Amino acid sequence: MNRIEEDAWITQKAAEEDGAFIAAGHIGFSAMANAAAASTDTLAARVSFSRFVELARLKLRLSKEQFAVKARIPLQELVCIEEDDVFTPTPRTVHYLAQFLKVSHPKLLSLAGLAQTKDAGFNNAALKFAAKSEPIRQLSKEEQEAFDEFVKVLSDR
Amino acid sequence: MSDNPIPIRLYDQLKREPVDALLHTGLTEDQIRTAQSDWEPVRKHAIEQLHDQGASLEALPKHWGWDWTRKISRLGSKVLGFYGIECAGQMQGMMEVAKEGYLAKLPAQMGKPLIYVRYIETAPWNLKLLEPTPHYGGVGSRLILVATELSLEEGYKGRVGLHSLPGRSKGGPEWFYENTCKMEPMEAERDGEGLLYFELTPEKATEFLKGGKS
Amino acid sequence: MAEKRTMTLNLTDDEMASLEALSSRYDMTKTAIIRKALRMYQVIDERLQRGDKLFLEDEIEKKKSELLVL
Repeated sequence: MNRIEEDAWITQKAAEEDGAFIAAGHIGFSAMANAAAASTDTLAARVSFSRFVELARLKLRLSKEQFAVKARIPLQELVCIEEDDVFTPTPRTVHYLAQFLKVSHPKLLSLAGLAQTKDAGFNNAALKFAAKSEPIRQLSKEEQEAFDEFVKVLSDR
Repeated sequence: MSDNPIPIRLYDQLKREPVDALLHTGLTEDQIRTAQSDWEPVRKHAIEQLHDQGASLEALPKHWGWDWTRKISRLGSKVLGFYGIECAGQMQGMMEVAKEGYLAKLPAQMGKPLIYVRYIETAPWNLKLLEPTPHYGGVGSRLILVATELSLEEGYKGRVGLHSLPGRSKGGPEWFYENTCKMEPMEAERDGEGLLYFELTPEKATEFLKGGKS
Repeated sequence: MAEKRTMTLNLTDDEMASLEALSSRYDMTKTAIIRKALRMYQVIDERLQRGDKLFLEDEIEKKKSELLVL
C-alpha cells in the first residue's frame, strides 16, 4: 500500500476518532452487573492492594519466595496478586497477610475486593496511595512515605 | 521480543499532518515499563483533575489503574501478541491480542476462530477526555488495523473480537468500535464485568481496511 | 509480516478428509489449520517439557482425564 493511500487512511481515521477514548480489556472488577457503576474508589482499592503487598515485600527486602514462606501464603497466589491483571486473592490469604503485615483484617479484605466499605476516609486514603505508588521496582523516598502513611490507616482498627 | 519495527504513519493533530511512526510487532520488557511510567502519571493526574472538576465517579475512565507491566510475564507466549506504536520516541498506543482460544459469537460466523483483543490503550495525551489538545490521532484505528491484518494472516478472514470499556456517547470507546472500526455490538455477550462485546466480520473488515496496510 | 517457506505434505485419505472437515467447519484454509495445529503443539510441548500435564474436562460431569501427548 503506498504512502499516499496510507496518509489518506490515517488522516480520515484521525478525523473520525477525533480524540476518542480508546480502550478495551478487563477493568479488574469482577462480578459486577453494571460496569459503569465501578467507581474510582473500587479501582483504586484494587490497585492499592496489589501495590501495597508488593511495596510491603520490597520494604522488607524479601524475594517473593521468602515473603510467601514468612506470610504462610501460597507463592503462586502472591505472584498472581502482584502480577495478574484481575486476580482476587482468597480470604485465607488476606487473613494471613493482615496478620503478617500487622494491619486491619477487615480493611485489607475491603482493599482486596472481598468486602465492601463505605468508609469515605479509607477509600480516599486508598486512592491517594494508589496515585502515589509508581510501578518501579525500588521504593523511592516518596513511595516509602506514602506506604508508611497508608500502613497507619490500615492499622487503625 | 521486539521485531524490527515497521515504518507506518500517524496523524499529528498539532502539526495537522501525517508523520512517521514505528509499529513494533512484539514488545520488550523495557518498552512496556517505559510506556507505563510515561503514561501512568499523566493518566492518573488527568483523571483526578476530572474528578476535582466535578465529574461523577461513574463518568471517569475505568482504565485508571491499568498497569501494563503486569503483562510482562506473558511476553514470551506463542498464543499472544503484543504490539506498540511509537512516535517521537514514546509509545502512543499498545495492544495485547490472543491468537488462540476465542471463537466468533455473531450468528453468521458463530464458532469460527478470531483474533481477540485482550487489551488496547492509547497514550493519555492522545485522548480529548484527558488532554484538551490531543497530540496524535489514528492510534487506536491503526492498532485495530494491526489486529485485522493479523486475523487475515492467521486465516481468520479478518474476524476480531473485544470487550470495550464503557462509553456509548460520541468519543467513548463503545462509540469508537462501532462507528470508526465498523464492529458489531452484542448485548448478550457482555462479560462478567458487564463490558460490551464487539465483533468484526470479514465483510466489515474489508471496509475498515480500505486504504491501509502495515 | 514474517517470511514463509513452502513444503509438500503427504497425507492419507483419512487425514486429508479430517483436514478438509476442519477447514470447512472453521472457515479457514487447510494451510491455516496446519499452522494453527503446529502452534498448539508447540505450546503443549513446552508445558509438557516443564513437567506439566494436559487434561481434558468433561463439562457436565466435571471429570478430568489426562491427555497423553507424545
